Amino acid sequence: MKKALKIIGILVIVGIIAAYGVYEFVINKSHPDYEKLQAEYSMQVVELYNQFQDDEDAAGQKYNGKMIQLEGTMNKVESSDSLLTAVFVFNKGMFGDEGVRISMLPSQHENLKEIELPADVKMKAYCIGSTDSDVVLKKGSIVQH
Amino acid sequence: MKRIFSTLLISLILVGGAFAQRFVTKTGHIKFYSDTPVETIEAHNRQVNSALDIESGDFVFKVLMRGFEFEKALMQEHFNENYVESHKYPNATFVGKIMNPKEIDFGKEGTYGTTVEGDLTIHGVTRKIQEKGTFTVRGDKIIGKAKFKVLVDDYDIKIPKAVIENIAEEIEITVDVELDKLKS
Repeated sequence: MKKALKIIGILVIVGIIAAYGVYEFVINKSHPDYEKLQAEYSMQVVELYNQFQDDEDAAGQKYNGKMIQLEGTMNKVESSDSLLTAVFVFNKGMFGDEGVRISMLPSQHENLKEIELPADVKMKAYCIGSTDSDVVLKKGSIVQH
Repeated sequence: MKRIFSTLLISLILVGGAFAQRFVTKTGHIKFYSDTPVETIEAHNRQVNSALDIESGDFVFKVLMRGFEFEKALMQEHFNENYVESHKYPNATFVGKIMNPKEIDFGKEGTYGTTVEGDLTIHGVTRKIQEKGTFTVRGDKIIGKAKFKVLVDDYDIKIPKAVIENIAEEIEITVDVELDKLKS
């Protein structure tokens, strides 16, 4: 009887620990630290823009949802609401300047504001797709300037 | 589907003529909100493209689905991978018109009520919608706001039985865009 109670007690404790683990590490897991994520691709910014221009579907299948390291000349920094966006301009179109837009991680805002434009930079960001006028990435961080 | 948005924008630019009649943004905000007794879920996308032609009333949106951000990482994963299938349908679009452009004095500051009608495409499914909203003219900007509901089932979005109690059948969408005059 005593032994059975002991086993039940152990099973209850293991169950509680397992439930806590599932909640904490699966259901309630935190977002990745984008600044530390390894980039899956590395290229010039213009190369990414051209690939989306040439074949949006193929480029989207390849790069959407992936971290990409990009190198190129940043022309503008745009600020709106809580977003600070690094802009690499390659074209002029119906939406004004068109190119690659990277919204930065909040931790990068001060560093970005200090950069004199135009500037050659290396950044890392998460690709979310193309709006036809621009290739859009988010969670950007500066790798080198 | 791929270039419908561009084509519409090009026609929007060409048909009307002068750039001064177009207002655009690349940083519009769309929120969606789901409330059930089990869980409240909300997500924000602050990188929404939108354009308005104040002469013709043409009004368009393009939303990158991976731009939505959730508080919980797991919900964001499920949203992209299982519900809206962002790998297959990376965008949502709205292509429509404001029904009363002549009743809105876009040259005079103030808030005006409006009704917008058009085709909303989510998850590859297009449905006609008609919703009420407001435009506020403030200096060189036009601020568009609307709140409306969409049925998940209308857009063929399948919610697994295991989480069916967690996600509302009707999702509330809030649109808030600050459009700037397009410079030639």
